[in-house]
Amino acid sequence: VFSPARRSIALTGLLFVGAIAACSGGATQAPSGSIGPSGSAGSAAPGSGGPINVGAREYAFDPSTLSIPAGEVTFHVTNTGTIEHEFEILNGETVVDEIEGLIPALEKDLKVTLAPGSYTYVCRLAGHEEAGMKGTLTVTGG
Amino acid sequence: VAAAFFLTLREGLEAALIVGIIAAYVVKIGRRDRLPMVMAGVLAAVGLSLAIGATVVLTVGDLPIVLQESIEGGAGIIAVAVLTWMLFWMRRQGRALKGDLERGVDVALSQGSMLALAGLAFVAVAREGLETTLFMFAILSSSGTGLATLIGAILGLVIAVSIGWAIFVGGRRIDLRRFFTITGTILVFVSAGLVAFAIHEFGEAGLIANTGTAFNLGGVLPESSPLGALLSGLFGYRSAPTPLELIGYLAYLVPTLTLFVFDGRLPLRPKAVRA
Repeated sequence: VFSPARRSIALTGLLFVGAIAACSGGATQAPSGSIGPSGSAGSAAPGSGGPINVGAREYAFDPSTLSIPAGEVTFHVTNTGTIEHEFEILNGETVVDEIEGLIPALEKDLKVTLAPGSYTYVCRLAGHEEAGMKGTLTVTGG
Repeated sequence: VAAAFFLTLREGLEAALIVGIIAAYVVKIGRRDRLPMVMAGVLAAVGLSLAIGATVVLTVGDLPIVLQESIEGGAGIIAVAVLTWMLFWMRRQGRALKGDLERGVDVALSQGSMLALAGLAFVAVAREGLETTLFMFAILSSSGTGLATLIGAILGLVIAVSIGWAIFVGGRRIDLRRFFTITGTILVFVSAGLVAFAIHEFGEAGLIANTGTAFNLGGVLPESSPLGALLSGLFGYRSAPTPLELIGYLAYLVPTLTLFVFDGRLPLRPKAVRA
């Protein structure tokens, strides 16, 4: 009873994943090469509304300083390194929002609404923040 | 590829462990006929995870952090409650068996108990299922991750299921009392890990204050290392827990383990406990 059931779970999973892969094959042309130069400061063009690209690698974020207007913003985070990372936006010690499980080469969008103030973004995997994966985010009013 | 492998392995291990133990238990007490109910719990959880995951991806893209962390934390608490009940329920059953340990005796398995076991299988799988589904979708929709990454992720799940299977097969071979002692002790640690996990999730959801670092083993044994992934998946190991997570872990572990091991009426032999 048990064995065929297990097998069918695995099969169902594989079929499902295969079907998704087939469906999304043509629709995954996300923009590439849009990660800012390492260590540079970045800011969103006023009113542009486009996603803000952030790269995560060992052990830094590119850029490490961001300044954006208040309101809804989308971060497009790409792991450009070789190990797993996170992208957590902190207000003091409180997590505003986060991306976890960001394995190498994975890109994920994080849409958040931010009030004016000073924030940081860090990777809270053990030791990463201390090694330099920490950025400052200034959200300006108006 | 390796990162994807260890991530899904980490996510899948605990569910595989719990389901493997439940399935082995049901067979050991001579109720193989109830196995489909356990499997139904697993399949329902897989189906629900895929359905919710797909809905989330197609609509809002990702779950708001407060909601996602609250769901995971809440499921963690439910899992702890059911696991703790199951621990002591199994132990009581084990005591009642006395001399009949060698042959699989039919233990009274009420409909309610059976539903609780199937429910535990459901919660164990559903808890990590949604996050794993969202992770799979992220790999599929990301241009930078190739087929190899997807294969790595699937392989991690396959290995996790295989370990659950090995527990199921191996568990049927050892005698019932040892089975109770070994799996029970393991489950106490799993449960304690879940308590710390729930605190962590509620902290990230902003529902409780959970900051600081009790100790940091990140340089020695990070969760991304093979052993770290194994310990994290099985026992909720965190290389850098907060003080509150550590306290929660110990506050559950110490009394529960004490009660489990030194339960007055039938003291267990220490050598069996250590296994």
